[in-house]
Amino acid sequence: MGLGIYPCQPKWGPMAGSLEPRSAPVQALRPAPIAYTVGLRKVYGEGESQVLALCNVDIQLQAAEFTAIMGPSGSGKSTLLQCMAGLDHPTGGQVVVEGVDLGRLSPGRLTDLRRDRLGFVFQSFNLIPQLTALENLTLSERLGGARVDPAWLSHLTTAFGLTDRLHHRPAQLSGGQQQRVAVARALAHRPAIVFADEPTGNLDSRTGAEVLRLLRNAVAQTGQTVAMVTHDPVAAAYAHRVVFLRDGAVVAHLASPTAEAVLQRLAILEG
Amino acid sequence: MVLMAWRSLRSRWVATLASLLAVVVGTALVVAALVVGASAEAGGAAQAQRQWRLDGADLVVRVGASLETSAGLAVALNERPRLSEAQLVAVAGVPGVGDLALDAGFSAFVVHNGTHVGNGAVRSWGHSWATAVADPVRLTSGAAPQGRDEVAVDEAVARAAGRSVGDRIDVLTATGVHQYRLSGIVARAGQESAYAVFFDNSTAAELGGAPTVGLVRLDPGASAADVTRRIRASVPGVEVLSGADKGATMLGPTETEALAGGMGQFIGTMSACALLITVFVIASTLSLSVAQRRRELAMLRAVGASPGRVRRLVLGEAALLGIVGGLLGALAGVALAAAGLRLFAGAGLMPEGLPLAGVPSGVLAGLAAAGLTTIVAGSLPAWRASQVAPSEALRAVYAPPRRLGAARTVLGVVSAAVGVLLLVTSAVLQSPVNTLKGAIATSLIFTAAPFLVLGASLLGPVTVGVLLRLAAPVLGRTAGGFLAARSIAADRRRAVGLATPLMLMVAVACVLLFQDWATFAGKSRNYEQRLAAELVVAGPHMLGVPSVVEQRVATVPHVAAASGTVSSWVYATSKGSAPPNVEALGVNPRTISEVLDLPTVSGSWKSFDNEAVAVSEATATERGWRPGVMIDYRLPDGVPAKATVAVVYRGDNTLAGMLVPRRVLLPHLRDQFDTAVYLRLRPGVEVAAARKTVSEKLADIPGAAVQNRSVHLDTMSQQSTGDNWIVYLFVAMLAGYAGIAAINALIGSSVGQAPLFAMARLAGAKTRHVLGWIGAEAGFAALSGVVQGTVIAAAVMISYGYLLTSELWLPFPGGQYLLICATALLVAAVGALAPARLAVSAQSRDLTQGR
Repeated sequence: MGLGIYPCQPKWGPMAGSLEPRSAPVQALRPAPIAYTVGLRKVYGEGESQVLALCNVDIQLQAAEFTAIMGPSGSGKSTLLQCMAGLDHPTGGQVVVEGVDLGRLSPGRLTDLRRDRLGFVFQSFNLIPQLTALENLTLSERLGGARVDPAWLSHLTTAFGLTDRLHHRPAQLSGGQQQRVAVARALAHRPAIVFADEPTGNLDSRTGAEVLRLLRNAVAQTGQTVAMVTHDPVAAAYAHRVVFLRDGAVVAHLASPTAEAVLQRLAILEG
Repeated sequence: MVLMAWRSLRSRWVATLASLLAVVVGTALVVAALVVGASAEAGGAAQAQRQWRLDGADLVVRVGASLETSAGLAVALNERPRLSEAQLVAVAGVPGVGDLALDAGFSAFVVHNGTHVGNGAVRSWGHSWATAVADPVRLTSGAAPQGRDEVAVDEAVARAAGRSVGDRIDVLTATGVHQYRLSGIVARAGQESAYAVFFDNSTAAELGGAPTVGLVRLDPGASAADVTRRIRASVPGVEVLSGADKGATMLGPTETEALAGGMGQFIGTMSACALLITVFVIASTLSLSVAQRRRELAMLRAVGASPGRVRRLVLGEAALLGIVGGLLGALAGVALAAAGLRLFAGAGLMPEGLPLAGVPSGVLAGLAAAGLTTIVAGSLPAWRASQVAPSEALRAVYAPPRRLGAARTVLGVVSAAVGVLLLVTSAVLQSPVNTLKGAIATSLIFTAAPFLVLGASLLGPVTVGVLLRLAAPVLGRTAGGFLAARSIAADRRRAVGLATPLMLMVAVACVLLFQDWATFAGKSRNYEQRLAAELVVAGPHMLGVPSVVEQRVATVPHVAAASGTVSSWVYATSKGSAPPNVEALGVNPRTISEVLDLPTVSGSWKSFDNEAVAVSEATATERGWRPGVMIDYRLPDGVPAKATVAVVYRGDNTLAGMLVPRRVLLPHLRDQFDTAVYLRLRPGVEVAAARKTVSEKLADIPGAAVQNRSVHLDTMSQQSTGDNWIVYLFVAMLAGYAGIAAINALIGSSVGQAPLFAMARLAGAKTRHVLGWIGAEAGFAALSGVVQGTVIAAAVMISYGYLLTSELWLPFPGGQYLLICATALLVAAVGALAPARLAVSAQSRDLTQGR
């Protein structure tokens, strides 16, 4: 195996003193995580062109917590998200979501799990262009998923300011509106976890902030669990906790982050 | 620019390959059609010369087979005119003419085991021995026929009949079957195309009537050129042939024409269809590719490419396809032509061993057609591409294409309206198909088809929208169907891209295939309406029964009335614009009104005798004839005749325009066989008993079948659905071609859909959902194509059926129609495999960035 070339040792280890220790004592007191990884590894390619994207990552997502995943480009943050969401197969290690080991699921069950228990928000919105906003919101129901609770749906659309936009197609909506539809879609079927990959990447700071506030509110008001990949310290500051990745490994944690603190950590990480 | 076009094509190689294939097939069909046509034309004359060489004669004289109308137009006669006694005397008297031998071909079949030796394709003709000498044939055994009781035959005939010199041999002529002694067997170059039975000169003259051909041997020392000049000068109306042209004289005028041009015209029609489809295929492929590349094109515009440059880029692609496809197609076309000639020869539709002719001009025309077609087809997509706004490059979301252009809708409505107008005009014209007005009505109907097809393809998005609204409740029942319905509604062009080629395929296949069937079905309907006879004596297909049958059955006591019928054309000088040709039916004037039900408009059947004619209402109106009027007309070989109009009858659109006494008509025909003889029985006579008696009376006539009315009608309808397997072959090729377009459209469209499949997967769609989506979309598009094609074909065919029978009926043979529909759906299913493959492999993680 090519892993011989990569001893799975980050070139950059934790800096004693300058960052928090990897396992904070408080973690031991917390309830069991809603999702976690054990020794997660992901290798792309073979032989000479082999790239180690994730290296023995252990990470926990706590229920009702907003976790941000940060790191420089190529640090493996998107790969981590994809593996945790069952969109990509890890090369080694384990992903457990709500007590279910994703590696043991058939592709069909995995699809069911994604449809029923997970929600997704992407940088490029990924709304189906032929469907109206409302049809996008209720698509999982049509695909055999659980029925979307009408009261919840109406609460979401009201809270997201989408009531008069429900019968528009994505092309007829602004970027901010599209992303609000995408967030509402991710929340519509009350998933266990919402995975967001650079949700504000295509938005200006004001609309971006609105989307982040919606995600944060979901966590605060309904106990939604959210994991978000971002490279924006301001966005990360909306989270309860930031996990820093570098070269495929978790190198730091930051609880109750502020934009300044995150920026500081990043500066150190990027050396 | 070329480099850009090339790179652009290379990046979408599957769609490109399909377009290229379309151009190759289109060009190949055009080149093949032109080369086969040219070969047939060049070969027709050669073939005519090969049947008979007549090298033993120095010159051949005959009368020109055309007639000059009062307007100065030459009209080709249906029969070769006969040489008059005066002309023969004059020719014989020309200085330098040594010997003048005569011949007139007449139907003469050797009979073996109660059947004809020869058939509708390889006819058998009686000739004078003088012709055998003039050819010259080689006697392989025996001697020349002497006296009334001897014949000599071709080797092929002797072999088929199993006879050798000295054997008794039965020969069927218009006068019945007579027994002869086989005096000799000859080897003759042309015996494979038509058989010959040689009689001694005076017997041949007796059986064949006045000669059509004079075979001249010159006096020793006389110059052929001088004698030719002298004959032309002193005997007006006579043509003199020498050299290789002489042999063609032995064939009837229509026969030579058929050999030369028939196939070429047929293939021409087919290649026009192929070209039409090529335009559609390339236009739809390029349109799709433009639709998919809007962003890329917008990016080009954003970085400074002018609209003209974008237009040239797309046109450049089209031109590149045209050049490469044209070259490959031209090569394939020549090969196809060679194969086609063999195929047609094998089917007996063309002479064997024709050499390829007109290759360079065919190839050039094919290349020109390919170039022109691709550029015409590329213009609309190119224009559309140049209209892409640079701002589209900046949009984050896939923007559904703009609404339909008003120009497209207007053009579509106009085109469809023209098609409908043509159909309505044909219905208004409503004339017998054998008249000029009827011929115009027929061509209007079939000209309407391309207009309707064009209209339907331009209005495709509108039609698909309407059909989608109808189908939405059904589609909405499943997740795949719902996604398909939404996806079609959002971008109808993709569904149109699949529906249009299938619409074309169904419409073209139905019209081409059913036309022949409809003609016969229509004729059968009319025939059934007017057939009053209780018994019919029919002969083998295309051969008929000898004219003596009518006299013989008339003497059977059960029979009240009998009339033979023989088809030909006569020529009536007319004052108006009507052409002189009138389709004529030779009948027995005293009995015809009893065996055929022909309602009288004016006049009386009682006054129809051998000095009179009966005319249809349409002919009477066209020429201003009414009962009692004396008319001048020409018989099929141009001989002038006079007759009184006895009666005007109400004919249908497939009946001859004029009934002429058989006794008047027959001597002017080469083939004096009746198509059929109709019998009306005396009251109270049992049909079965009469049938038995008549059959006994005709026991010696080979192939004569005495049928009651229903059996006869059955036989007639079966006869009609015969030899159009070549049309099948062509339709199959066109269908395959349209199939390529459909598959092309599906492949092209599915590439653009890949991200959508991934998004649906992310939302929880399983493989079956996505496959259901694709299946529903392809199925809907295919069905809407089939529906549109059916509606167009039905409109055209109903019009044609109405023209033939003046009744509204749908001339669709059910089995064939279902086969066409099944083929169309199969094409769609095969085409849907490509997007299905993509759908299965669509991964939702492809949507996330940062990998």
